[in-house]
Amino acid sequence: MSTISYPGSATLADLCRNMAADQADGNQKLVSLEPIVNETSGGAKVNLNQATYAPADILDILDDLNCIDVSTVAGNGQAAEAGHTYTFIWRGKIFVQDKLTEVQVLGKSTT
Amino acid sequence: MKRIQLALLLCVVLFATGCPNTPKVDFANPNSFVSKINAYLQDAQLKCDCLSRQHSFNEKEKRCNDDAFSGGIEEAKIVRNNAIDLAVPVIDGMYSEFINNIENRREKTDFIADVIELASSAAIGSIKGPQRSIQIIGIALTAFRGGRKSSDINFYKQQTTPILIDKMDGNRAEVLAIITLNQVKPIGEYSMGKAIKNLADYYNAGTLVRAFNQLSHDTANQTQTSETAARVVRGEDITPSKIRTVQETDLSLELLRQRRILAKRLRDALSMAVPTATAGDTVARTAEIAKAKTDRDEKVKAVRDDLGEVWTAITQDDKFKPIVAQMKTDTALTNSFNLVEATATTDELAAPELLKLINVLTTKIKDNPELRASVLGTLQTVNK
Repeated sequence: MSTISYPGSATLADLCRNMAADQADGNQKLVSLEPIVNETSGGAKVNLNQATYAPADILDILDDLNCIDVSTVAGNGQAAEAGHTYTFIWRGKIFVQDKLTEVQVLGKSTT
Repeated sequence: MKRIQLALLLCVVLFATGCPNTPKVDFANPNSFVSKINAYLQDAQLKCDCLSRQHSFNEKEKRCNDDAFSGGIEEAKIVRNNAIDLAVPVIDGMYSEFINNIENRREKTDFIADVIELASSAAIGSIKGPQRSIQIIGIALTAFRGGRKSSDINFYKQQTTPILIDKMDGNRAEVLAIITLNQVKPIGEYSMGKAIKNLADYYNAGTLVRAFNQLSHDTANQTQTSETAARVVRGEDITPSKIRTVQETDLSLELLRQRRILAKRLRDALSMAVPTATAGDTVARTAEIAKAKTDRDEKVKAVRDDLGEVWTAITQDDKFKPIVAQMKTDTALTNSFNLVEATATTDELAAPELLKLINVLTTKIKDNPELRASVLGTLQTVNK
């Protein structure tokens, strides 16, 4: 298992795209996410999203990630719809542009 | 006000009830197991320091030898992880004994009821729910204001100790997760000193004082929505990954797609069924089996040739030489290199190893756009 921390200030689309790329570059698959507030030695508070990846056969990687903001009714509907074609990976709160937001991450293989 | 109540509660628990507040550790006795562990950690720290500076360690004189030990960095990581693996069960054992003591004492004394009595205006309660939403301070305990019933006291006696123990368990699990995640890091990123600090944190996480502090902190955090669901990491500056451009991430996905085309061809070829020959096979059946085997072998060879073409292009390009040389020092890849480089290796054995080497190389060039573009070009040519 390995972890990569992303800036909590990123948009959901940017975060999702980068996680998909890190899956590809690291021959690994996304397992979970966790929002973190890093109180640095300088006293600053930095919002981060820490993604945990597990090593995977490249054919098992769900390379097309779909991250949906499910904090709204519309988002929930979109996630339910996506659930027909995508596989559920994780759901929970993460930082999206520095605001804790309920997000669902799904994925599918394009090969 | 809540902090005053908390302070009162803490003082009462610690001093009035006489409840133990930390797992028992006998550092004074040099022959105790704990003291020996402590001495071991001290030695391990010295040893790690020497090894990480590429010197061997003189066990007798407890100092670095004046030599050059090339495998020192990897060895230091092993020493550090062994020290952690030894210390964690010791701390776990002390914690288990501590929890048993608390539980036993709760049966015999009014561990929490006394606190409620003394801090009559203080409020102690619990909310069912996830770990972070459990709070002990700040809940109006109205039952105690208008004349309490014995059943109320019993309720809080039964609830509060488990909450504290849950909190300690939660605190310990958080620190242990940090330790476990850091164990995979090289010694340069996670030194023995940091490991010992985390082990001390792990011990402290299983104390009543820390449980109360953490509960107080959690309660304070509940007024700040942004922190309620986020774990707070202190004392460690985490460097976030750079958010990459669309072009960069597209390149990563295309590299994966091209590698997967080869991986899928290989998997399909290897999974082609070849019937087992038996003594009673007819001539036609024997021919059928031979054809199936030939078909399979041809398909595997074709993939091996393509993978070999990609790998040859990489290894013959000077730009990749330092990376390939670095990969050759990785013991986890020794077998792959041996199989790929041996002429006698069958296609069936060599092809998966070639794919593995290409995959590992891709992770190594993650931050080099020029090399990534080069590998992608070769893969696209082969997959055409």
